[in-house]
Amino acid sequence: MLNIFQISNKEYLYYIKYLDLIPNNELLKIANIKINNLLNKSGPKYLDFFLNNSIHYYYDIFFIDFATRYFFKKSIIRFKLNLILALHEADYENFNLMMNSSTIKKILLDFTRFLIIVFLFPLWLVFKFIKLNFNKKK
Amino acid sequence: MNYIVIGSGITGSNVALALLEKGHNVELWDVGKKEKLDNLSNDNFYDFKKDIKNSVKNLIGDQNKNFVSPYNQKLFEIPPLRNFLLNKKEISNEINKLNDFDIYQSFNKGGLANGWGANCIPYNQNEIIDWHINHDQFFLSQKKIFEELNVSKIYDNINEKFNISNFGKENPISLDERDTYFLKNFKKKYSYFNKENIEFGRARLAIKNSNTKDSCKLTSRCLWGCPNNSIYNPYFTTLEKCNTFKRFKYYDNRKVSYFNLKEKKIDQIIYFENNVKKIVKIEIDSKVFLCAGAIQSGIIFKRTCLKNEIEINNFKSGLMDTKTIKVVYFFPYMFGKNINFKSIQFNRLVGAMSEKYNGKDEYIHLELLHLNSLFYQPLINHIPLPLRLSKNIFYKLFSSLGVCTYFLPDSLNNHNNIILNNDEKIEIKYKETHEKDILDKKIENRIKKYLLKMSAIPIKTIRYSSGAAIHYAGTIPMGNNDEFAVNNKGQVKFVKNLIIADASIMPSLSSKPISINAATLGNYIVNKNL
Repeated sequence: MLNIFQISNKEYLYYIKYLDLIPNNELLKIANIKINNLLNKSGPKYLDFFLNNSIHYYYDIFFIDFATRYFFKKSIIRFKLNLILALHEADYENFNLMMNSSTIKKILLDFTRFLIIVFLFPLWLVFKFIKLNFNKKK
Repeated sequence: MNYIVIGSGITGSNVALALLEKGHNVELWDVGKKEKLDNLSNDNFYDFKKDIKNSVKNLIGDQNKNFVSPYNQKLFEIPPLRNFLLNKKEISNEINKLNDFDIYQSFNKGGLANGWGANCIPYNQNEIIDWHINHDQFFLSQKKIFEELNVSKIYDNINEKFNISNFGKENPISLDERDTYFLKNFKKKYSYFNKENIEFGRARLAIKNSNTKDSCKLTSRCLWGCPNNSIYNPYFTTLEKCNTFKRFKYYDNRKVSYFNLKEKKIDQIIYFENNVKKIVKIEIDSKVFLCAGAIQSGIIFKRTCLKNEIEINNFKSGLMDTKTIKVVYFFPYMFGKNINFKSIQFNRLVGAMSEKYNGKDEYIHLELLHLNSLFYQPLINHIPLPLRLSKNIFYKLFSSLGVCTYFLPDSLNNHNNIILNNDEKIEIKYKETHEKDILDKKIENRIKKYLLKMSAIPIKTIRYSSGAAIHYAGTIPMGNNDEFAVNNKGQVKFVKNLIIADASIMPSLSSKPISINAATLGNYIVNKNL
């Protein structure tokens, strides 16, 4: 049951694209061990299942990051996001990339995206909730 | 004469060395846990990241210890590689109720000094005026300890204006571009700062920085687990010196619980033998120097009173700590500049100012840190924006980010204390006083004003919980009248062969770094008793 919280290759690539990183299978392996450790210490809550099941497409990550940043700060998904960033900061190539790839243009673009997410977030949340319930009934 | 020293931290080890140098037999008792330090051979953290397994283990830890969640106030914990601090479970076995006091304890050989910040600002006459001790003798001890710790030699306006002795001999560590820029800006507007009574200068650090074999290659590495022993650590230096004396015996695995008294003397020491997990009673005929650190010494002393039916409430006691506050600032001039990752991450600059506290002009100690190649997830996490945006903003800004940390002095008051109940359960009670809150605000406003004057923009103030500064003191304060259990020679008034020589006897606490001053007091107490 808890295996659903493991980061799949597909989900990992979403995070990589979102955070502008270089994929590294070794880091994905370590990330999944650490997620396992966390789940063994404290089990997931309903909200964690909901958020975890809401990641279907790349754009979902934008909403998930927003949701867990401001509302569901203690969720396992927030842990996953932070963990991916932290693990890649510990890697020489990724660290180099992070150091050199940030630009003002990127920040402005991200900020615009952030404003759009703020506006669309309630709709996304309702949509995901309906979809989850619909899938359950099915 | 035979002496038993309890505790091997910066005070205990220096007390033991002082006794040995005076020709006495010394037994040093402590729990004596040892750290397993990986021998990392990379020249700097930047290259260190090439080995992913080591890098992840050291930066985040097997148990995610250094992986900070957004709701956690701590930015950089002691790196997970280091295990010299007690973990949460060990602390809760030790102390039943902390009441949000954020305590740090060590049972390692070398104590908390295994991971200190190496900053050394000696107490001057102002800081010890209420201690009623011999100032000249205290300053002689200060000179001796500065030599032992290998402090860098710096003479600037901080010494001049704030009456600070300059006993150091070592070369100072070099500054990076941001430090140099900071000092340049400070000097440009010096007439203003001079009027405001604030000074900035190079840090006085206990670091081997001469061109010798064991000198510091990268100071940050020591703090972060590097076994290269360039930051002063009693484990590698003072205790090694003690070992060269035939009259020295070191007993680890002994966690002292209390003393049994007979005819106003310690007759037995009751301790927990850690390797066999057994409580042991041993009869002694030696003098005991208690140097287990303010918290542990306080607990041992109070338990001794309880077990021997001595009314502890007849004596003044307390608990002090220098509250730590960090102001994060932004240097527009350094925006987008390249950082030399092979430079060090350390507080290479310090500041000094004075402010009124409890009707007295108090020295306020400041430390300045500019960020270099380490691990930033905890900082990125504190930017109140989604992770992608926070990450991009942080990496664009970080060459221009700095942190100014200030420390607040403390004084004894009736509310802050270690409580030992009749069932021997230990509780810590500590609440910041209103006066301290006012002082905090005053200093914060001044620092923000000065940063702006230096073209730096203050961004955020981070306040840590009480206890997080790890400068504990005053649990068994010394004094001359009947209110105090300990006199100003460290002698316990109702136990002939017990001398307390660590920070637990300090009756007031300056904002200056405590370690070197606690070791100085230890040396002074030895000299007063022999």
